[in-house]
This record gives sequence, C-alpha cells and structure tokens, in this order.
Amino acid sequence: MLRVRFAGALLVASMLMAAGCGNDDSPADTSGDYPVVNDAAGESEEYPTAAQPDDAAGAADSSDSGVSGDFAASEESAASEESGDETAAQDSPPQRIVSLSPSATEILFAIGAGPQVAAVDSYSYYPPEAPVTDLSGWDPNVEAVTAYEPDLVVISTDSNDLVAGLTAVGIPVLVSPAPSDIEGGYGSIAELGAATGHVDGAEALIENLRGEIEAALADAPEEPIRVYHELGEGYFSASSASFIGAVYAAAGAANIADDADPDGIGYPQLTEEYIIESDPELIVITDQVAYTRDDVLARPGWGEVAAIENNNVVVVNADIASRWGPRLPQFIAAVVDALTAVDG
Amino acid sequence: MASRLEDDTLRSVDVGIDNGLESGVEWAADRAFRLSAAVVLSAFAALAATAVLSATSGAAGLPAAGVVEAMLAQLPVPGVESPLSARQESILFQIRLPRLVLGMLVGGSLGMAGAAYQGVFRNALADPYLLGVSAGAGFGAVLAIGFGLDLGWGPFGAVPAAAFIGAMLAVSASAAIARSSGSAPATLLLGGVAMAALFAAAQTYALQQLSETRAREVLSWLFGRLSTSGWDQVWILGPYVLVCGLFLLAHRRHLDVLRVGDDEARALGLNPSRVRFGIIAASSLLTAAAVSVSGLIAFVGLVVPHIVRILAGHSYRVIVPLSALTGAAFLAFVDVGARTVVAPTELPIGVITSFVGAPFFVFVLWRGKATTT
Repeated sequence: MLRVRFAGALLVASMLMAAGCGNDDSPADTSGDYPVVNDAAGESEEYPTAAQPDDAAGAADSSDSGVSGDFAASEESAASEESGDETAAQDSPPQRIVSLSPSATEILFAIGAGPQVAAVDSYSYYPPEAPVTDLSGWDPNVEAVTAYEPDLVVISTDSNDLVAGLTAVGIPVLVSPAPSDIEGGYGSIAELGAATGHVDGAEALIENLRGEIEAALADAPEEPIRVYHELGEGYFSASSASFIGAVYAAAGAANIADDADPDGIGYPQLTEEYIIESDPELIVITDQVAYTRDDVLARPGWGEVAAIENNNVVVVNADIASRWGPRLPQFIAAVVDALTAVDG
Repeated sequence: MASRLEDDTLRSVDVGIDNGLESGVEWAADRAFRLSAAVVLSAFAALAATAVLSATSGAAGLPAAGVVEAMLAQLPVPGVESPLSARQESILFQIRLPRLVLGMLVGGSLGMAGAAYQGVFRNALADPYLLGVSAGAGFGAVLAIGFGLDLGWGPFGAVPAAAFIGAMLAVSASAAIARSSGSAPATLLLGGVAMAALFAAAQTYALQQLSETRAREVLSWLFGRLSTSGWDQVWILGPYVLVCGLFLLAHRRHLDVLRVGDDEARALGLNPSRVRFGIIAASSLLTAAAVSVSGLIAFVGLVVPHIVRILAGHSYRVIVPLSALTGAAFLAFVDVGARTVVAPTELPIGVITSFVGAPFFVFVLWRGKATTT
C-alpha cells in the first residue's frame, strides 16, 4: 500500500508539474480584480492575503497537505521577499537568478530580466536562450542550487523543503505559484518584476498580454460549447478552478470537468462513463502524451460522443497550455479557434 | 512447519494448517476436503451478484432495467428491444462491461496466485507483494512501457513478458536467499522484503530517467487502475488466466502434498522441486500478466486466500479455486466503489481494496479465531 500511495503522490505531482506547477488551492473566485498595478508599483504588502485571508490562515494551520503547505510557503516568502525588498530591491536588483519554474523563466525573459538569470531547471527550455541546466524543479537539491551562487531563487512549489534550506544559507527565495485564473497571472508577473527590478517591463508585458488576450477572446463563440480538456493518462482533466480551466471559462465554454469538481480542487480524475455521457463537443489533448489524436478518435465506446463524431479533437502544445506566461495568448487563440470551428 | 515467529493473530491460521497436515497424510482417502457444491455455488452466486451490481452502477446513471434489457437484447431472445440510446449502449458494452470482466480476471488472478504462493512456500504471509513479485513485475513493466521496448512475440506483448521476467527474478532471488540462509519462514519473507525494496528502488530510478510524457504514463499505470481500452486488455490477460489458472487448478492437490513435507511428497511419488518450480512459475506468470494490465493492486493476493481458508476449509483443493472466485468477486465489487463513491470522479482502486479489505479481514480473523479456538 505504501507503494501505491507513493505512486499516487508522484502522479499528482507530475500532473501538477505538467500543469505548470499549478497549486490552485484557492478557488477560481480569487478576486478577479485585486490591485495588480499597485503590486507592480511595489506595494505588494497585501497581495496574496488581501484576496483570501481566511483561506490563507486555514492553509497555514494544516501543514500536512502539500497543497496548503505550498500556499503557506508562498505567504512566508512573500513576507521574506518584502523584507528582502528593503535590502535587495532598494540596493540593487538580483544579478544571479536561478529559476526552477518554467513559467517564471518565460516571464523573466519577457520582462527583460533574462540577462540576470544564471541558471534554470531542466524543463525551462523556453525561450531558447535560457541557460538550461540539469537542476530539477520537481525534486530540487539545495546544494545543487547553491552551487550556482544565486542571489534570488524563483520556484513554483516548495518541494524538498527548498525554501527552508535556501533561507538557512541566506539566499532569498520567491515562491511564484501558478495562478488560478488569468488576472492572478498578471499578479505573478508584477511580483517577478518587482523582485528583479523590472517593474516597467512587467507592466508593459501585462498591458501587452491584456490586449492580446482580449482580442483573442473577442472572437469566442457566444454559445457555450461543451469541452473536455484531457491532461493525460487516466482521464485527469482541468476544471474552471485550475488555470487551464480558467481559460475555457473566459472563452465562454462549458467545461464538463466543473460538475466533477465541486470543491474547486482543479484537476479532477473523471471516469470514462461520465465523459461519454457528458457528450463534449470539443476534446482538447496535449502533445505530451503517449497517445495521438487518432487514438482518441478510435477509443472504443467513444463513437457516439459529439466531438468524436464531428472530428473535433484538437492537440495543443502542452508547454504553452500548462504554463502561465507570455505565450498564453497563443493557447487562448488555439482554444478560441477550436471553439469557433465547433460553433461554425 | 508452524512458524515460531508468527504471532497470536496468525496462530489461528496455523491451527488450520496443522489440521490440514493430518488430513494431508490421509490424502488418498480424499474425503474431508472435496469442494462442496454448496460452497462453490455460493461463491458463484457472490460473483454473479457482484456482476449485476457492477453492470447496473456507474457514473453515467444508466437505468438498471434498461441495462438488463439491453444485455438480453444481445442474446437471440425474441421480442426484447434495447431501450438504451446508442451512446448509452456504447457506455455499457465498451466501457462498463469490459471493465467488469477485467476486474474479475485481475482479482481472480491475484487471489489464485496468492493462494498458490502461500501453499508452495508453506507460509501464511507469502503474497505477491511480500515476495517482491509485484515489485519485480512492476520494474519489468516500467522498463517495457517507459522505454517502449518492442519485444512483442506473436500475441504476447512486451509488457507482460518483461513483467514476467522481473517477477521471476524477484521470486527466485527471494527463494534463493531463503534456501541459502536456513529455511525459517521468516527468512523467505525477509528475502522478499529485501527484493521488493531493491526492485522498487530500481523502478523509481528508471522512472526518473524517463521523459515527462513516458513517466506520466508509467505513473498512471503504477497507481493501479482497471482501465481498459474496450475489450483489448481483457483479450491480453485472458489467455494467461486460462493457461495458468488451469495449470494451478490441476496442481492444487500437489500443494496439499507439499505441505506435508518434501520426504513425504517423494514417498507419494512427487518430485517436490519440479512441482514447486512449476507452481511458482505459473503463479508468477499470472501475477505478472495481471500486473501488466492493471498496475500494482495490493492486498488481494494476501487477504483473499485467508478469507477463503477461514470460511471454507484448509485444503488447497478448496482454497485455490475459491480464491480465484472470491478474488474476482472482491475486486469487481471494490471497483464498483472506485467508480461510484466519488462519481463522476474516480477513486484509485488500491485505496478501496485496503479500505474494504482490511476491516473485513480483521473481522474474519476475529470470527475465525473465535470458532477455531
């Protein structure tokens, strides 16, 4: 049984890694409109707490669950990062950043902090100029990280007690968890901008993204299309409480995973029967699975599903779909195109 | 052969084994341990009831009466029309029924293999998990799935083959350790635990070397799952169950003879090491085939034979076939829970095998103790 539980933990971890290290413990209603721009201006005092003070307190209490632990860690680090602001941000921005989060790497390069990045984890292979190393964000090793002599480490989840280890040797850590919706993502960008001395770059990127995303969403069909986003083996899906699901929600689609996720966990594992009965009109899979679009079209018992009957199965780039970052408009545009194709 | 190391809880089981020993000597008489028709019938009845329950429950609330009618409509029964829509029919015939049959095959395989291991090693704690067979099979399967080995030979896929090689490596190593360091029952189990740890570590290492995509596929499989793509997995597992199951059924009386001791077995005209090797190989192949389609599902192989032993007698002539039937019913029943308790999401089946199995096992142990002592 031990092994089953171990494998389970790993599986969930891998799904979350796949989803850009998303730990969405706050449901999708994490206030769509907290003051992002103020954050960018450096007044980040109330950034995560202002959204859901009760949740955060509860999460900090229950330290046994990895998810809430991460939230607590992000609280801590937000605080430590602020105190670091006094010294680091006001003195000089960090010059040797180590990023163990693919999303953060993409953002750092997009806001102009690329030259300050000393090393990134093995999955941070975008943009191409990112200094990829064999560091792991999944199973990080404190000593391996310190070997790069970082003056700031950016991670998305605090695995292996990395925050405690790095803090003990005096290296500031910024935990930048995956946001649970698009607005929350702007907050992440602003936070990274403030921490690296690129407030202007972050603001420009946010403005740019807002424009592109709004333009892409404007083409979305009015009719709510029933959609099933398959993360991978075992029919794991992404409900509207997850970042991926938030994109479908923003595009006005009806996500079949929502009814299966009343608690807003984000990544429910659906049963095959439920998927078929829900009769999705669009099925989205990623390119990082061991099966193809043709395999999905040929699945036994799926023949009567609208998406299969009408050949509406699309493959999206898993990196772009699962990472919060500057390439998000591409994913949104792909989703909107697919929805429009179903509608038309 | 009653173990000095086992604790009170297991002594009640040993009492049964000792009873079996006496009767095993009078094996030729062949009276006390025949399969009684009533027992076999009730096992089949439990299996049938589970099948009906499973076929009529699931996330896609199909009407129970409709399910029955749709199934009757498949038979050449005049005047029965399926009331289900085309989509409901495909859910029933391509999703639900294959999964039900797969659950029965896997549960039956694990139950039967567990019974055979317990008999051949004369150890009440021998099961595919403790002997390292599952870990070995898992390691082989991880290599085959993860690195996409293409060793397929005719109808025999690479994954069961690799799982079988891993399983045999693990179980032979466990047995070799036990033989070379005295034959105390604990030695075998400790050897098995060591092998399980070794293969689990190798498995984790192999996983780390895989690409993200492959790793996720392997992890999802390791989790233990009864997912089948239509009837594919049923056809893959079916032949192994048929061949190994018939072999074990045919040799089940030899397990009773082996229990008496090697010298006595020889006196009865049996070659103990050859019989033992055959039974271990068949059980390992059965376990490996089950593991290769369903991943690692714990608990069934250990508990089911004990439940059978306590409820129905101590001869392996009874235990082996009843463990197959009970294991099949147990896993199919547990899978109903996996599919419905948190519907429309799914619970990992390993969680429920233990959740349902452990309390029931304790209950049976407690009752068995009360009646045998």
